[in-house]
Amino acid sequence: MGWANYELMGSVEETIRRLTEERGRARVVAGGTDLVVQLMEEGQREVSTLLDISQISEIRGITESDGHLLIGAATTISELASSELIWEKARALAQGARFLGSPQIRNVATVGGNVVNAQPAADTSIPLVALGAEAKIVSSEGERWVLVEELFRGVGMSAVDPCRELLTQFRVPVYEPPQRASTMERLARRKAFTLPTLSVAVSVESDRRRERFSRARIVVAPVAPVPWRARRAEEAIKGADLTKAHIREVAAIAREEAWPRESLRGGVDYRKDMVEVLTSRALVHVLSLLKREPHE
Amino acid sequence: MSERSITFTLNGLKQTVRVGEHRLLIDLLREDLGLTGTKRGCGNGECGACTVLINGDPVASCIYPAVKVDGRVVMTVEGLAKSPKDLHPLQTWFLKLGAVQCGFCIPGILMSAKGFLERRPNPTAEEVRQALVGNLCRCGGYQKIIAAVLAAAAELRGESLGERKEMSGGGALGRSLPKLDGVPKVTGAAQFAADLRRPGMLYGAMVWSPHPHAKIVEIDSKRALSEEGVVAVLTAKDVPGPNAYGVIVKDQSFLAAEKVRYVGEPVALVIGRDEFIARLAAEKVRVSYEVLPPLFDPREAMKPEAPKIHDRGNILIHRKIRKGDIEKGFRQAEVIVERDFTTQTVEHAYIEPEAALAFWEGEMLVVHCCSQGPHYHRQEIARMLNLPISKVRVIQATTGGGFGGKIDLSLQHFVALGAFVTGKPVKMVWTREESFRTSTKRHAFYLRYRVGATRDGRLCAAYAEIIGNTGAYASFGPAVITRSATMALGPYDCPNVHVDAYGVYTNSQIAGAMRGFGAPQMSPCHEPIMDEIGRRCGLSPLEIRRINMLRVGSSTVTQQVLTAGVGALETLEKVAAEIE
Repeated sequence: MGWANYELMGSVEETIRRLTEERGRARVVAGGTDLVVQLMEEGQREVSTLLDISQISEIRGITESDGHLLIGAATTISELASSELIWEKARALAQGARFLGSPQIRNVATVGGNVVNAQPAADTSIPLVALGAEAKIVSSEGERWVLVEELFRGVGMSAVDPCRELLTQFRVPVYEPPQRASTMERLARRKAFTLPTLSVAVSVESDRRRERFSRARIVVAPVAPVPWRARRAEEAIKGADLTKAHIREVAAIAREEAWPRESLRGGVDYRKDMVEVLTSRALVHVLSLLKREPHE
Repeated sequence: MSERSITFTLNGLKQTVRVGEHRLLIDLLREDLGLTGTKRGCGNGECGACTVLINGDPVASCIYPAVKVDGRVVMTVEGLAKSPKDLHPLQTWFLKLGAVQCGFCIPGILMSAKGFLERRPNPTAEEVRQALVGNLCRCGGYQKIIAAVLAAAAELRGESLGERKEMSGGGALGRSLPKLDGVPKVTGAAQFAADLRRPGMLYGAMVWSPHPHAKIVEIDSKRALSEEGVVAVLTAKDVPGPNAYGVIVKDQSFLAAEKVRYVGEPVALVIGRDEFIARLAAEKVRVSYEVLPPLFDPREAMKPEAPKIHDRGNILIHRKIRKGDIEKGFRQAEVIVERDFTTQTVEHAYIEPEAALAFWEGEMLVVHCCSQGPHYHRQEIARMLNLPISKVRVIQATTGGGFGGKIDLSLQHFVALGAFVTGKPVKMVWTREESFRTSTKRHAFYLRYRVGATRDGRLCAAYAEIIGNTGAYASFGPAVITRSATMALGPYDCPNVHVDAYGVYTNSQIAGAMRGFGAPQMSPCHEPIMDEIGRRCGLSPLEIRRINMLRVGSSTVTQQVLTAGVGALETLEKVAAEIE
């Protein structure tokens, strides 16, 4: 049950030092809203020390630099949800943050924790993948930048080893109208504080004249053990006119290539249908952000 | 387990305390600092009863490591009012507008609202709703709470609202009066059973069956007893009186003796120096079982060849209703509707999990507990312990919701037995999981209806078969099944009625009392049938009901002739007026 030692870290450097000293007996925790519950229920006896990074100021906050948003991994979900910068330049992420949990959870949970917890439909992971975000991972061996998309190895399994390294920052390409925009659609059995039946996040870029899609990322979850990209649909949208007919076509492709599971939150057929509906809604909405009404 | 000294501001006062690094904020507040206004409803950060403010933000203290508040500002419900006489506007409006019912969720809701209004002093109702999504309430519904938050916001902005208009008339009649125990429920002072303590108090933890149906071969307590701090491990053998209880049929053991009949059935009770010790030792009690085939579907369990869950057979009750001549009724019928229905098991999910504390006061055994039936609990505890009933006192603590689920014994008998055997005060608080697993539920039903009417829409024959899953033990089963039979046709009049209602034992969780007591399961059956008969007779939903509704002079399915106070038709007309 639980843990024996809980240390509040003051810096990334201190965290790395403590991880190295403890050689696998310590692990990183951020907001802990998932991890604390898991540890109290199951207990992981080999890990007896938690190193809390949630109060390290160098890995908190949101800034913009050079066409990217830099988001500290320990930034809370509430901070994301209320940030104007995120709302303007990474709309899907702002929406995901607003969907997540309850105020009590959002005030404590962090964006880094949400990603490293590696649930396939995590509300901020989906938009981060759709936005093509990268994450900075720091260990005693140095630091590396990795696409967020590549951090997922399976349900609850992250490429980040919390006993050895920590995720410190996200670099998110700006998606801001007039040519770029992003959005997220989420369907759940209740309107709040519940896990999604299906979520779809999209980011798109149009050509300069805003007549064609030059590219798009379409991320759907949960339909696989990791956030899943509808790659055939993404391929089909490239160079396509911004029309309702094309959106319908692309959404139908996404439906066809998605293979969701049967679960308490929805059956296979229903989820497949909803892949089409939500993909289509997301693309229509994203066009409205580009101030383009799709014509027939 | 390491310990650390932390300094933080709590309700305006700077505190320095030593706290174990493994502990949670809720435990620091409730156990070390005695601030029991913060409630534990789920232990998972889901229900919001444990909400406190940290640096002004609402946070779930039940999943928040205590050492994280070092250097921060914490506010609990106890810090909201300047004094019990000088309440915060949120507290006064919660009282004035009747937003407080059981009171268990209220401290958390007040803290969420407080944190929210600091950031958003002029919110819309929808924003208030969104701000409170992390706080569950099961008694009152949320409307009055939202109204109270909006009213408090207005007062905090300095807008004058005026007093709510009181109805005229002298004395208390016809007036809205403040709740008698309202103030302590908004200040956090109300003492629920989990908030009570006693010097030298021990803790109890249950060992429960992981099997739905099994024979108990052996219970080995040696390892648990050898643990530091474990005082006793009690089993059926330690029950001094008859090991059988039940509000209608005494078919349930205080602690399982030979057999277990559902997952979660209590088999042994570990008494330890504290909760942690008792719970850890409970995992070390070895129970060997011989697993028996389980039955979960009452339709299977009622077959003569089904394995017997209880020696006297699996049919707990067969309630028959026969009125008029059903054959003749169907011969007259020009329209016949046949439908099958199922209804599901429902958990009461009161936000307060079960809790109780027992101790000796001289020769009197005193039990403080959450309860909807202290007199019943007293009888059963006295029988269990072979004590004269005059030597047992059961005192209902402030109770955090019940909805029928707290009439049965849950853990009141366990703390009583623990105190009886050890001579020391014994306390027990269930986790949310234990509450879900071991408490009673609403009966799930399988129903089969056949209802006939003449062309003019008048009912002439009604047949219903009702099979209720009463679970492992009787509890209120016979009464619930009887109620369902008598309510099989709801508020409708029919001269020829034939109802067979069965309560059948299975290896599911025990079904007992829950709001409506068997009647709510009937409404989703008779109402669509009325609609369908109406459609076939060319009558609107209102018309078909007007024709058939019980009125003064009607005879009910049990052939009671109604002489006064029949409000069904009047209710229907009021609804009709609202619709039109």
